[in-house]
Amino acid sequence: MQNYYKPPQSAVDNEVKVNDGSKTGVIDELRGTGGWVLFIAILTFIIVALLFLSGIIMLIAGAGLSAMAGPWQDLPLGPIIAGGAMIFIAMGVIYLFAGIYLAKFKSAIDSLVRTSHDDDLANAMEQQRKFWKLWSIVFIFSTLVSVVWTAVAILMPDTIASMLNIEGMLADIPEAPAE
Amino acid sequence: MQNQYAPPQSQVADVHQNTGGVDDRVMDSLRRTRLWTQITSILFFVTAGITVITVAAMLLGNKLLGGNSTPEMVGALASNLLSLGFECLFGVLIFKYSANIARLMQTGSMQDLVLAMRAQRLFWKMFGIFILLMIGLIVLLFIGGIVFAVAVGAGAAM
Repeated sequence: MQNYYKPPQSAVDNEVKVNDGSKTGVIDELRGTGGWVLFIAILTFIIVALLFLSGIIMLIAGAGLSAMAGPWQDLPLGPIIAGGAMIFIAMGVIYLFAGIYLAKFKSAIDSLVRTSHDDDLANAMEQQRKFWKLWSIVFIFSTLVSVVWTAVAILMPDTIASMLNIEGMLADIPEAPAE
Repeated sequence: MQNQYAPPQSQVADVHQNTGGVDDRVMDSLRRTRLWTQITSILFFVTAGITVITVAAMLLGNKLLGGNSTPEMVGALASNLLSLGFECLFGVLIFKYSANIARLMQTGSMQDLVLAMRAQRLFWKMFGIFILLMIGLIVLLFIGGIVFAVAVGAGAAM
């Protein structure tokens, strides 16, 4: 029921209304984003730990395998495995930065939810920008690598086989004794 | 120092250069975000294209080899199609985020900032669901592998 005794109200779109009304909407959306960002950030840190661990294990295993006698002695296994380990560790460093940016984004969202201050909103936007930049660069690089690798594998299968020394490895493996 | 003789000022939105209350630093960050989100969106579509080629090659190869649908073939095809679906979905969601940022840059209104943040929230939600799904699949495969190994071991012992 309409209240005929309430005071008149102006329809001015003043700053308080714009900021409170719409900024609440922004904060609500970011609050909904925060949980997922935290989840991905935690997973990213777990992946970082696994990548570092894998890299270290590969380095140790590579050193051990190089020292052991076997059909692989003539192959440059040490440098190959060390190279693989370095790739794992480099990926770990990149993912670490991605996780840090996501954690900072989540932290800025939490501050924004608490204070509703423009500084926190600006900080949140800056952190998500850094994340998107890093992710895009990694995505460009990985897409280029996968496209080049697929093209080489299709167009030059012999080159891949010789790069991996598959034929040499197969030739070096002694045949099983006949029973 | 406060000017005691300054005329009274109203808190209307139009004194803030048509930005409708959106902070300039927010506008600047999002302007610089847009380039990267556009690239990411395009790359998701490129990846989806590569997946389509992979699926086509798998189907062609299978046809050339006699057209027998082995469980491995069906599994690989299903996982590729699932990837394709999510790649297209992520591409569309990030494209929407970029488009909303572009609209925000034109209008400078807080409502468009809300829409941009909504698009971003939807992307993170879908990405999180995708990751949960992948974790669930890995756990299922791991359990399936253990059950299979135990069954094979039990069969060999008998």
